[in-house]
Amino acid sequence: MKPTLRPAEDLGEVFHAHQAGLVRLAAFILGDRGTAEDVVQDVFVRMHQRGHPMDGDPLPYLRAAVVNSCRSALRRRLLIRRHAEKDSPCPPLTAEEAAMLSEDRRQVLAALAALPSRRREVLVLRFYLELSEAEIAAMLGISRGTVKSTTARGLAALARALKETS
Amino acid sequence: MTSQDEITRTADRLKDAFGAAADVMMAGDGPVWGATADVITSVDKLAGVPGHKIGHPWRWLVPLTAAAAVAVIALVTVLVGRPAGNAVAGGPFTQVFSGVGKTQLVNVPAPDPAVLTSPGAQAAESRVVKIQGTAPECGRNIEGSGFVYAPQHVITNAHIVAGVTQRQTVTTAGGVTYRAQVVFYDPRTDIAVLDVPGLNVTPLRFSTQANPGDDAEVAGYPLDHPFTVAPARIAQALRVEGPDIYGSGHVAREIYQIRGIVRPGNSGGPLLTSAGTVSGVVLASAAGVRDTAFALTASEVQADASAGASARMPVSTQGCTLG
Repeated sequence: MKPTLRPAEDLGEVFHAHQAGLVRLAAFILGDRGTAEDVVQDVFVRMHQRGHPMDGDPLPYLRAAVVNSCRSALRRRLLIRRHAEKDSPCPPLTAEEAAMLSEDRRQVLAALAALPSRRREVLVLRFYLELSEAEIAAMLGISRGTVKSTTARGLAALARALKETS
Repeated sequence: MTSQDEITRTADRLKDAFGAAADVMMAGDGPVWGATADVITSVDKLAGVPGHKIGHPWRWLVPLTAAAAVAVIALVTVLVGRPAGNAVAGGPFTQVFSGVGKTQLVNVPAPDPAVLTSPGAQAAESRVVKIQGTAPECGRNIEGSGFVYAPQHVITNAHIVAGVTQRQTVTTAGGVTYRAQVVFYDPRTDIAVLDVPGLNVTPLRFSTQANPGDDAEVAGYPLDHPFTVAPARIAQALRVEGPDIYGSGHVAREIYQIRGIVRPGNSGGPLLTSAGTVSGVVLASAAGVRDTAFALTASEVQADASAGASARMPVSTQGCTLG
């Protein structure tokens, strides 16, 4: 009897399990779903080409690769808003999706989208993925102190922006 | 100046907005692969992934915030009228459904986080699984929670496996993935049972002894998170009537109203007692009412659970739900 699949042994399984979640992660960081989908695809394609050996849970590696690729995408200014998101009050949602959220949540997402990308990145990792400061530090290759201060500054900026809009 | 309170509140609002946004993104219907379909197709061929299908949004996790809430709210609404709006703080009772009938949500004290350190929560971890599958007919992936309740058999909500014909898998908290097959499917109660050969885990046991006010835990795999246990409190048992998961027919179900945060992906997971037994199957969160969710009671699912416990023959998962 060998019904067990180690997820790491099958890229298809890994893709199946994590693709959608990784696109959401990239979309929050980039504020753009089209680019987020490209970034995640590129990560999987590269992984396949390299035959990246995966021991254990591939998710931490995948998340780090996606976050890194998001940085490159932002650096190369490849961020071209596609789809209907350009009309959205709070990217990466489309205008239709945004309409399904309460006003309060829309304000939060809009304020987030307006933050500098590094702060947004840390806030997404901390409050969307709920990673610890240590995990974020390891993923981004920065100190825990920097994670802490970037988080604090990001939240303070968000709080100020929300005070102005409400 | 920004006070510490304000910072904490901002962090809470941010988490809440992320959860809601992830949920609508998953439920959304936007173009998914578009210009890059060719790339993913090549990955597909090599990795055996039907990309254009996988890529499609899962309207379905909506169950927990929308669809499952719809399952309950809709069924309550059909019979009882329309939701009368948000809970009003203050009184011990809050009328949330007006019209015929007397369905009321009740207020109970906030859950006690201490329940999470009970032996129950700890023991449950290895028995609660993540359930994933692909429903090509409607181009969506469906994801939720479930738990081992009989040898090599996992119970979950029917809406978590509705229409799934490919890649039905069960993954443990330890990250081991098993192929699974639906061997029992009841769209009326919203219960399904999966046969999972090789999953050698001691089953959780049901308990029908839960009472209003009891501490409880919601265990499962909320969206993009690993195994998560959240404190809850049982508010009351309710009898609600409405359609099955496809929106047709007429079903009466016994459910618990619980106070606690239930997120998309929790659907199908156990509502645990502090002793580690199962008092219900998490079904839905209440739309627009904070901290309020619903679970099918252990008595309600008992007949289905018995019928599915030793089933080995695959059965149809019928069609996708409307969500």
